Amino acid sequence: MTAPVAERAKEKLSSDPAPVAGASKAEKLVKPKANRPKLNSRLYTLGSVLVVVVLAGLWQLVGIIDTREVRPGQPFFPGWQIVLTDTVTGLADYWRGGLGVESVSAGGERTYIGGLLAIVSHGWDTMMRIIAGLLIGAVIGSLVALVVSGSVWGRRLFAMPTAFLRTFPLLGLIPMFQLWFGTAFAGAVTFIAVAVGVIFFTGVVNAVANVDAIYVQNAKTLGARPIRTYVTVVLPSILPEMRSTIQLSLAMAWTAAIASEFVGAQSGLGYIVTHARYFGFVDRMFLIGIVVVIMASLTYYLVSRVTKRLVVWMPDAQG
Amino acid sequence: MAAVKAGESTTAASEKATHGAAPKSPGRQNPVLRVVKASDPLALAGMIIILAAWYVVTEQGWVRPVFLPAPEQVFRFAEAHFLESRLVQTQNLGDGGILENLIYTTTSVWLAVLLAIIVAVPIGLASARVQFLRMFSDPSLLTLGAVPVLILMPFFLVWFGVSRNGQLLLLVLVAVPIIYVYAQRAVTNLDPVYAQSALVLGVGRVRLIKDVYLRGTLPEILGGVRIALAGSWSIAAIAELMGAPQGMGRLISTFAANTNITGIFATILILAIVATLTDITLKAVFMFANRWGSVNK
Repeated sequence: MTAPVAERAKEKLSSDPAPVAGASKAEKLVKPKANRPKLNSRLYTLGSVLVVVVLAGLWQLVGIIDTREVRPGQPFFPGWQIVLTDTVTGLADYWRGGLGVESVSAGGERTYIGGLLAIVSHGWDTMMRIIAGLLIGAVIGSLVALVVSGSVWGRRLFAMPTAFLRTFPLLGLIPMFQLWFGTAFAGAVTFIAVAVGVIFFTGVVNAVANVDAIYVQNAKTLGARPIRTYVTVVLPSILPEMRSTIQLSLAMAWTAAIASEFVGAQSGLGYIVTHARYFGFVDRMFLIGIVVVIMASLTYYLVSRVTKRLVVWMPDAQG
Repeated sequence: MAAVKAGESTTAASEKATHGAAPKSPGRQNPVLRVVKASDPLALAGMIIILAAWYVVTEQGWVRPVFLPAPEQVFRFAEAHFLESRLVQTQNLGDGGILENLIYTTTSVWLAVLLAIIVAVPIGLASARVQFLRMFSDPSLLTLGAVPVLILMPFFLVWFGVSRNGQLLLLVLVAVPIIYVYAQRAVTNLDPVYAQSALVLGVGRVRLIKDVYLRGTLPEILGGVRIALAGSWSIAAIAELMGAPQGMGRLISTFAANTNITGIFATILILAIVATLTDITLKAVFMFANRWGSVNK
């Protein structure tokens, strides 16, 4: 009801943005805070530290209050005194031997070195799958999307399949991928690549559709051929929007990797979690969970640093 | 670019002003009708082409049925097992058929997103204004959005057992960061000119919140809800695959154990269709909420 009124008033106001005299109570809601879109980075750091400390403390507290056990000796909520000691040495079970540290199954001792080696080697497996899947999926997904979006007809034809793909419950198809490509490296990488490829495909198709028509028209007016317009005008202008696609696909790659390791894969961080769950080792699940959170946050941070360059040319880029 | 956009919007606004009295402005139309009108007949053709390709590939025997079952096979399976199915019943997945499991999964997803809205929207809206809240909500929720929350599912299975609770909690944790970010952005993106002009026209505090802030942020929040919902179906499926009393994911895992490829395809396609229909419905709601047009999407 008030919307059209506001619309008309907006026109009037935009020509004269001088502040109105006589600030009412309601106006205080609007004015002073309007120029505060971003959080002070110092506050952010302080908040992060406090959140981490509180969460870590809460975990300990829950462990003290709730002393139930999954099976004798394996608590529901293992405190830090367990997670940082026995859990690390326990993870040595997942080290397959080498580098002078014998595997536990071959009669080796459970040592801190063995546990750390297990975390690093399985983390490496997960990471390699993610990187390979991301690269393959990003390249193929983008290429297919660019071909499809090359013409208006292609864009119109593929609009509905793209919308269908966007909501497609792909993670439910893991068993199919394992039947098709096996549970080893290839199966996991293909699955991640497809999951990432879908995001890149829908992202690029959308980005091309969103390119401001004025850029393309301008190039055409100046006499650029369609292909040249596509390469020199459309491609650069979709890059800023690709940033969120890249971030989205990174999160998806992690989820897909963990999912494929939960269901079938024989190595990787997700594999340790599933294996530990069968034996009720909540402490091992917990430590690996923390490793996953740290690794995922690091990759996210790195990617967001690197991709910041994509939006540099935008006049009102939002970091 | 900004100048061009501003110019465009003023011409659009003046056009609106001259035609404002017309009884059938696009905003008054039935939202469903608007979506139907906005959809393209060629889009349907794209869907048909893909179905035709699937049919040809399997009919010609280029792909073995073990890898890709024929479309009519999948359709017949879905039809036979939709309402009532011995196959489903003997696996302890309810007294009905695929439909019962579909309802289970759909309920989980919708309920979880609804809970996420209740949690995330107030925090998101408030965090755009209250720095003290934001210094805690930003680090925790943005990190939650960046890490694979799926890693929590095995914990929930240990703590809650095989029940709906763990799945719901997981889905809520996936949806909350997304909706939070959109709600927060909705406030920061809302042009202060709307509030200012409303004040000039003399509205009070209550009407300012109701007619400007709520109305102004709703479209962008709904956009976030749409994105959260789109991702939720996948998470629901994998969560059920890992352990649930019933649901489409459980169905897939039992079919996979019996290498019933046709069953897996039927299940995933039915779920995908429901997911798409939900998305289309939400898009209609979005267009209705955005009929005054602050967000161009």
